[in-house]
Amino acid sequence: MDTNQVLINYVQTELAKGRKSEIKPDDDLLSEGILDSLGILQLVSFLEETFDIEVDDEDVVLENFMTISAINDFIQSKK
Amino acid sequence: MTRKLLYLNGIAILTVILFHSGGWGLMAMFSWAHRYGASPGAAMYTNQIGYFGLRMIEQIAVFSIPSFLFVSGFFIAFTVPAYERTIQWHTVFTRLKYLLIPYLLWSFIKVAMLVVEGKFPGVWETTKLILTGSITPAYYFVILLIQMYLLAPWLIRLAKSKPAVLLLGTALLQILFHSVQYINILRPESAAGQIFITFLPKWLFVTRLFWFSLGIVFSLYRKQFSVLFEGKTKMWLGFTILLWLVGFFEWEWLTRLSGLRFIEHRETLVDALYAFTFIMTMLSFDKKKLIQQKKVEQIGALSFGIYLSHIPVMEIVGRGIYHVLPALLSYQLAFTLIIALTGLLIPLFMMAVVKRSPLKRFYVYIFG
Repeated sequence: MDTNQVLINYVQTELAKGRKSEIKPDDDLLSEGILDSLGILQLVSFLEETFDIEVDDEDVVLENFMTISAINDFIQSKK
Repeated sequence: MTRKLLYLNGIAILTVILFHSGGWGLMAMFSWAHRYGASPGAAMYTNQIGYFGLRMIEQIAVFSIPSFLFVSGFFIAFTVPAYERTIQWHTVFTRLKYLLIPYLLWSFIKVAMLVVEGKFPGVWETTKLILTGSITPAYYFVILLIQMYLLAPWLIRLAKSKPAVLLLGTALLQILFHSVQYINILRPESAAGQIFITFLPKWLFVTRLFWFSLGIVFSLYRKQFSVLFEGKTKMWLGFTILLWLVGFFEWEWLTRLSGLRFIEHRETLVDALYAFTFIMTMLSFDKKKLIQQKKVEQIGALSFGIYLSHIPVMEIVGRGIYHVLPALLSYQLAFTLIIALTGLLIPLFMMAVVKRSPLKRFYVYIFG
């Protein structure tokens, strides 16, 4: 499964909590309310565990978590 | 720093549950003693261990609300792109929707319980209670949080341009609020006490604005603030333990000075300092693995839903024991433990059930 799909599955099942039925790679996760503050923290843990990367404090910025595509780009940049 | 916020939230909701269950324990000790053949309040003297055990729990939990607000402030600032001066109203309203709807739902459940008990306070009074988060004492926090989000656009703007002004200003307000508590405790009948009680209710944003602002400023200036706690775990932990002890004895001293056998806990200046050092301690742990980290973080992620739903659960269990098994009320620590466990596990069970049922698309409107 490609990274985008892994991320979409995780956000859809664990974080969106029914806020949106279908998530697309370029959906704005925050302004559409798909992700809330605690969801971002869960996502950080998920990324570290699943993709074996270390997310530093300075990485936790909106630009890296705004969309599934942005998260994917961020993961690639950390590998 | 960021990686410990979910854990902080988890610890905060767990201690909130302990705190509220401790409240039921104290209720059994002071108000329900007749159910197990003791005179009101006498239980405290025959069960000093129980009393001090419950007081210790209460004292530990003082950091919870400041922590929730700190974490909320931290992440509201996170949602602002670096090139924007402040948060967009659209983001604020989206967040509010998922706070307000679950809050109203659980408030109406509480109203329904009052109706069943024959204690419905009337439409106007109920509206007032819901608007001030007073339908049950713990819900004031939601009203507080809603006000914080509504103020967020201005707070973030100020935090970006003049962070020191924001921190100092809100810190002064916080000090004022906590100082007033001493008057409320020692001279509640005085004119000043009455004014402060009337104009500084705990649901009003000024009473906790500092913690939300602190979260915003820490989020925006992470690197600069990290020097305060990086590698300083022992120092902050030492301060936290010391202030917890001072706060514990301060409350006993204040209770004696008040001349009353028991007074409802109010946060003092010492408690605020303890909350601050607790947050700093948690942030200082950073990459260190903590006890049951994964589980606590999972609970932390569900904290808002647990916060809303544990109140009616505890009430049903507590009053159920009062009617069905009153002898248990004389073992206040065991009673407290039962309330705490059910107060955590039943909400978690309800969430799991909703998530796996056709109701799952409404999950966010039920538990946030």
